[in-house]
Amino acid sequence: MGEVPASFESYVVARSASMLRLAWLLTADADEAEDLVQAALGRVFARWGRVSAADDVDAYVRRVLVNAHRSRLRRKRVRQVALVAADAVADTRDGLAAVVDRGGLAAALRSLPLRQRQIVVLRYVEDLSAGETAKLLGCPLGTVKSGAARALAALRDHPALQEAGPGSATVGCPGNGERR
Amino acid sequence: MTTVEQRIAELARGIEVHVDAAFAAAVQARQRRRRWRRLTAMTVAAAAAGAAVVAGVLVPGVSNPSQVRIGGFEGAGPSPLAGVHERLVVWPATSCCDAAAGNSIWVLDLATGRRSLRAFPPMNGGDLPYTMIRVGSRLVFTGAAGPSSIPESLTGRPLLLGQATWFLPSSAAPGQVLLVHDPTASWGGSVTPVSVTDGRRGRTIPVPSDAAALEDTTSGLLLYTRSGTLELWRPAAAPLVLARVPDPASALAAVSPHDVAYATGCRSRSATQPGVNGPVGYYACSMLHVTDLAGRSQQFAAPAGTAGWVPVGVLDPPGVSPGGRYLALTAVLPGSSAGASRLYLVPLGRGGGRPVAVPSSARGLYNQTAWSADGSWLFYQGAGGTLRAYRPATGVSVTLPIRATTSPYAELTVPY
Repeated sequence: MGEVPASFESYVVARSASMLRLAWLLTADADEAEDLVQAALGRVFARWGRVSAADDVDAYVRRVLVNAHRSRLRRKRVRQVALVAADAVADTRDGLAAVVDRGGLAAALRSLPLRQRQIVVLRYVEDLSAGETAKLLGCPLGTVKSGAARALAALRDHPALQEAGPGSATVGCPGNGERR
Repeated sequence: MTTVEQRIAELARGIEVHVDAAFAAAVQARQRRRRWRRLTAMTVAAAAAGAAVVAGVLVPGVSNPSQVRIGGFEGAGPSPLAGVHERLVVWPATSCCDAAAGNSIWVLDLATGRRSLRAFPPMNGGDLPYTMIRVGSRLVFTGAAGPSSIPESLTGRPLLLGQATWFLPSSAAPGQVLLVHDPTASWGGSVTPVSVTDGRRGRTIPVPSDAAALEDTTSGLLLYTRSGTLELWRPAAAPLVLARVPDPASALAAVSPHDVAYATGCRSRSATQPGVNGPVGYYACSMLHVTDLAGRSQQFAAPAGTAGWVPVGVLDPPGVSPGGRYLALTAVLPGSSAGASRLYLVPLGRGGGRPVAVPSSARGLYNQTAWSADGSWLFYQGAGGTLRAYRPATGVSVTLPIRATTSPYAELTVPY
């Protein structure tokens, strides 16, 4: 992600788009996504002095966001929302951000169980290794690998992913926890 | 041929995220507010605990974010109404129903001047006759899922009263409101009485197909009809026509358990209003008629120096004070394309008298008002986004310690 900005405000300006994209793919809901990012950034803001000195600030913030997502899901059932059309603009509730997901990836991910969705997002969107994903999600490496394989198999037939080759789902979890 | 993983990454790269420059500031402001509230709550709780030890009683803590800007209002100083044991609920009219701002309302304790920002369930938007009223010990409001009630303490879960479009107050049955089922949004439909405390429903009553319900009174259901009559009606009984009004939907000035007020001699006008896109249409009327449910009528000409009364139509009709002594109504000032207006108090009943201008009430067309539970204080919006209180018995008018910032319009309710 490049050099970490020194001030919190600069960090938010530089990273909020990528955080919103991650949150959008985890939640498939614009309101939830902005809430999630605000909640995560709020926690980071409260500890910015220490966070900004960390070795990998982005990894820390990503962990906070994923943990915040899990916490919110524990507190309440995720409301089932109608997904926006593939070419729709998902305006967030107070107009501070908007997500355009013309390819309908969030809709495709929404068809997956939560854990598989998290695994796919972290592995193939955030480009984490299986080991990093397992560590971040707090689950065994085998869960990540099997979850990724099942998710890719399920996604292969999804209309949004129709350009994908037929055999790709079988190679969903290369390596043994090492970076690809 | 791309793999599924590559396609996922490709689609993810294609996602466009647009972030407003204010986003970072909003995140910081939100966190500062949270931190401030936590700090205040801890301070107040500690103070309350100390007081409880001294006094031997428990004192509920109250947050007081006096200088926090949110939802279009801010605190502005101590309350000049010490001793007035009322609480005023204030929220910006233009964002009451937004998922973000609509969940926060101000509660102003007039006795202490304490202002609290309170979470509130999502509310429904639209042109509704009533947005929030007090019924017994609960507040009834147009919730996002339908009319709902919540304890006046604003604690606990809201109770969904039904899937109706809106609700009407019921003076005929204490502790109830009428759910209005209005599938065509015009005439007919039905009403169902429902308890605001437990949601228990009474028998659904079909409304005549050419009429719409205004209020449930002890004398029957108050209706206005397509043919232009205001009438009292009971099922299977002939209606009692109270008045004939050319355009009751627009010329209605007020409805109460005792009276119905309407205007005649009206001319359609438009004006520009701050914070409103496009011109705002309104009626300027030369005569105000107030008819009680027994059919007795009073007339009030538009005050001298004004261009006419501005009736509110079927929206926001509750301008009559509890007990029915006064009607608060706006009159538009002449020669202004901006619709400058002033609030007047119209004396009702047998006491007679002329309408009296409310001090410092000059502002735009739509002046939300609320009465204290005993009818002794009128709360209204003054110029410059101020909220004010006026005591008709003494003529005292004061500025309340809360004022609008981003929105010039407020919704007001006195829950206690």
